[in-house]
Amino acid sequence: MPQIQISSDSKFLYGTLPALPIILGGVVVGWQGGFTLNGVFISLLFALFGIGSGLFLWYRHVNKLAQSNFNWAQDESRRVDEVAAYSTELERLLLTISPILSQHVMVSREHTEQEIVSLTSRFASMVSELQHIVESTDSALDGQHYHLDSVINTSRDLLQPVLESLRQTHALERDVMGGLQELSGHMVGLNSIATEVHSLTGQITQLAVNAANESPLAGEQGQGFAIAANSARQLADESLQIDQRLSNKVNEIIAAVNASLIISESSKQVDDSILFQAEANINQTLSHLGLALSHYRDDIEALRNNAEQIRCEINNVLVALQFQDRVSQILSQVENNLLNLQKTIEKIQQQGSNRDGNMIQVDEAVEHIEQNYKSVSAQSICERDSADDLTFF
Amino acid sequence: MAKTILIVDDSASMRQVVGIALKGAGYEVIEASDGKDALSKLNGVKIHLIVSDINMPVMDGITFVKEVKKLDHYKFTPIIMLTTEMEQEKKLAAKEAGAKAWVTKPFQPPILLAAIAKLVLP
Repeated sequence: MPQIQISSDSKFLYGTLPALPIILGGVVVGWQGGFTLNGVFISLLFALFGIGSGLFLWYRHVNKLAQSNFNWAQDESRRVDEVAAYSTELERLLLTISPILSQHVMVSREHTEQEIVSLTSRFASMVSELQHIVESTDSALDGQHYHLDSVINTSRDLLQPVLESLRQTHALERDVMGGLQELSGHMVGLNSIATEVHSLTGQITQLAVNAANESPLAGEQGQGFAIAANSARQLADESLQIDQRLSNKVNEIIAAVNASLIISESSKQVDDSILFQAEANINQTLSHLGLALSHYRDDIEALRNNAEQIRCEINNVLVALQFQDRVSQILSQVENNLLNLQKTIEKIQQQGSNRDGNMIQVDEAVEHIEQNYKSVSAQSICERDSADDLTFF
Repeated sequence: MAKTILIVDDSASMRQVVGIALKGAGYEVIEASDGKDALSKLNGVKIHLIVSDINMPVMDGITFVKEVKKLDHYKFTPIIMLTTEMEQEKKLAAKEAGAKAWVTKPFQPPILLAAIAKLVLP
């Protein structure tokens, strides 16, 4: 409630205005009753009554105003005390909180710094590991370490002579079989000769028999002829037996050669099959190995590309982590500003009851803080011209 | 023999990021947390190049460069300023103090390495 001042307007309003009708009434009564002694007296009574009423009303109004002003003064005094207490508490609050906030900011800054250092260190290790992987895959792709190409080619080179040896062995078997077939042919010829010998021996025997039969006709002169014929027949018989054995042996040999031919033919077919299968298997194995190597190379290439991409990404992250430097500077600035605020309040507090609003230069302080933040926040990376990145003097 | 580079920055994470980039390129690295700390490490050690921040406590980068130029053994050592600052006045101050190059943070490692390669004698 504001303090009320007594003015001439309030005197007119609360004193004169209510008395005026009564005074006017006395004047009117005097004028109507003629200006006799009684009329003038009555008029004066009216006027005095009006003046008395006005003074009474005025007095009552002044008393009300005095009471109101008294209440206002008490209210204002209480408010001043409250504001002073509020101001004191506010100062105490700021002085208490400011170091705590400053401490929190410092701890946050240090923790963030430590974590960023730790994070950076881990990323750096990952970059190093990825670099190692990329270099290893490069070596693998170049065949410096694993020589897989060389292994396959060497295996192929080593297996080719083996296959060639198998082919040569197979050719020798075919030659042996040809020899056996030729031998079989000769045996058939030999058998034919034996048959002819057998026929000839039969004729000799028949001739010896005929000679033996005819020898008695020659008398004593024929006895020697009979002995010779008998000897010839015995020789023919022996020759026949030998021929028979020869024929048997030839037949046995032919049978054995034919059996060997059958076995060789069978063996040849098996060998053909094995050789064909072995060659196919070797080629297939080498082909599979080549395919596996090709896939292995593709996988290594993909791994290398992925590792390279991840390494680039992590390098970008390491660049992005440099924001910590700026954050750290801003937090340092916050710490400094809190410290300045604390000093300012302590300085004002020392002035005691002489404190006034002019002691706090709010605009100047805000401008100072803004200037400091401007210097540390600078321009964002996006706003930066790449030409600013590097300058040689 | 690997070249030795002195990194001066109050931010441990920045020192580490710069160190990673330099070590990856085959340089040996010595770290200092401010200008005063860096001066104490220039104690007869062979330093081929210095990479320094500007805004640092105790001793800022410009003052540090001026102090280095007063040292007989190190006055010809090339110095690169690596900073978030972009004001021309600061650049001019660094140039007048004797810095050879200015790289803005955050930096791309290849840019810093290119600057170093140009300033470090083979």
